[in-house]
Amino acid sequence: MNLGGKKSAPAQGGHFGWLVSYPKSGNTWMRMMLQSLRNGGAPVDINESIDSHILNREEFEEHFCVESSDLTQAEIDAFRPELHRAIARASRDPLILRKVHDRCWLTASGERVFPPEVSRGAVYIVRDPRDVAVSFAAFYGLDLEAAVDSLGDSTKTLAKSSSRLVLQLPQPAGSWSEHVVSWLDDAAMPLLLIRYEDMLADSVRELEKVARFLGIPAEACAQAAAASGFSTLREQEDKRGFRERVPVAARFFRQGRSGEGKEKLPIHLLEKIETVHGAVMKRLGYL
Amino acid sequence: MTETGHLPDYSFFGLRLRSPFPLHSLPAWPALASDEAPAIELCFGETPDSLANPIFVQIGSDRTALVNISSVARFCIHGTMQAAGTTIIAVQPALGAEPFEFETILLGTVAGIVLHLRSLLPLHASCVVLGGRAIAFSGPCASGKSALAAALVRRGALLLSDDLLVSGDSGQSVQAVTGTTQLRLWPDVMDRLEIPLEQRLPTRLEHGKHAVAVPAVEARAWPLELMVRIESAGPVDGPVMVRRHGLPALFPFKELVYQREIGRSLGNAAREFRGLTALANGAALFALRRTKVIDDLDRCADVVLSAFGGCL
Repeated sequence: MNLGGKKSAPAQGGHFGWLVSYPKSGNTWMRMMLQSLRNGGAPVDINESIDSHILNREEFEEHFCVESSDLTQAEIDAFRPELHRAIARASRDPLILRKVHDRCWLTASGERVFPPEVSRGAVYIVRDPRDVAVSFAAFYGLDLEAAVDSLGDSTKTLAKSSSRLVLQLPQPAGSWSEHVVSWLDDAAMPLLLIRYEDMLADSVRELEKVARFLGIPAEACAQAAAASGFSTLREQEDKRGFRERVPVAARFFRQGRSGEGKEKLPIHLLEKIETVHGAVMKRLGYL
Repeated sequence: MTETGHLPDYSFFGLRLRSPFPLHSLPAWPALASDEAPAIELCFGETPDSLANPIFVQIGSDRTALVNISSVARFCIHGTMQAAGTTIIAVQPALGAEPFEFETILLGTVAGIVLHLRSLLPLHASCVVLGGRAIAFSGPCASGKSALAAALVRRGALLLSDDLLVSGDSGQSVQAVTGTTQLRLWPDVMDRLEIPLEQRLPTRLEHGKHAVAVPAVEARAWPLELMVRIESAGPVDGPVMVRRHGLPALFPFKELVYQREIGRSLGNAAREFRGLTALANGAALFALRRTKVIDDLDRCADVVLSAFGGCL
């Protein structure tokens, strides 16, 4: 089955390995596995800093020596591509892993925000949108209807707020379908598509695929997958909490399974998702 | 206007500044110290073409700096390393920019560069004075430095400076020098502290951050008693103050020193090390470990005041 990853040959060159997904699609789990893998399969502490964080204001300020909170979003957006290039120039590590929730977008002047020339490739993690909706609702404290509407919101920008200062830079995400298509069809860089459901079925195999794609030694994949298994991460959150959990969510590592959407969403919301996202769901084998 | 036809001078982080336009977030230069020539002169003027259109900031080999915020203004700073020399800041406003917008950039990004050019040590910190002694808050971006300063101002503290702080040492004590007289806050904090809408002044057009004038200290140096780094790492049951010691308590320096790369590019590394060492030795250092949410703001103020009382 062609899942849309047209350029899944091993990535070469460039600094950035973008770990891309729509929110609540298994990105954090993959980041934890990669963190462990790059440390030879060592245990992961979910509350220690993970290398592959989302771009934030501190990096913007460090590289441009400007007070970011005095700038408008348009002024920040315009220099996102240059910020990526600046980070790549300054990095001593030939591979920079970064979590991304943005869709693949262009600045107002038409420049690619994720510049191909500094990109090794993108790992795109996708999950059945019906399951995303249930997870999204629990994470943000929304009812299911609002979560489903949010998945269809073309204007959605994460970390955008005029009421408070947010550490992360604003991330235009768009709807679930737009997000998927923007990366799969227009990333202009090598791309590896990974399904969350396949991570659940065989996390070692999927981690090996990602490691080979990004050029990370893959010998310790089994240990890394064991060290950052869903139950291990959940256990850590039970004992000491997790700083990426938002206050309205009971927990971050919640169920970690597939099929929840079909069980919990009422018929009219399942139909709504299929109406809005059906074409992309079919393409990915979810319908 | 004064008898000489210009506006009264201002205290710009301890330096005398003369401006052709009014500035609303700097204290007046103290009358008793008025013999001194201005260290900084603001003027309207063209910025040289040789410095084209940098991404926000460019420092030339002749120590001329250009700050370019295209929708607000270009600021050309002719630097000096000499304590007695004058720094000229030429401002070329953009069409349609509001005066409050270039004051915002002037007292943030531009101020940091000016202070580095004059070999001072600008810290990314907010600071209040209580009982004649200063408490400074540092921490990562969005950790709540200004919010905590605002919470203490509501409890009777006086503002010494917001977001940008100059510290120096005189013999055995470490000093904090007065900076801005306004706090720059976001609506969530202003709402929480019940700051009336009419007191919320814009900093940029269509922007959430606002300036709020608050009671401020007399413009001079004050003894810095407490240096508190706000840490949001890891979940905690409630805010706690943890005593720290020595230079490692000030890590990471790139977070604490405002625009650190500029200072280092200007050869200020040794000055920075001396300044931070004096700070580590002269102030009582604490980490305030808190959750991310704003709901614990009052409890944070409680634990800070408790630690502050214990240090007196």
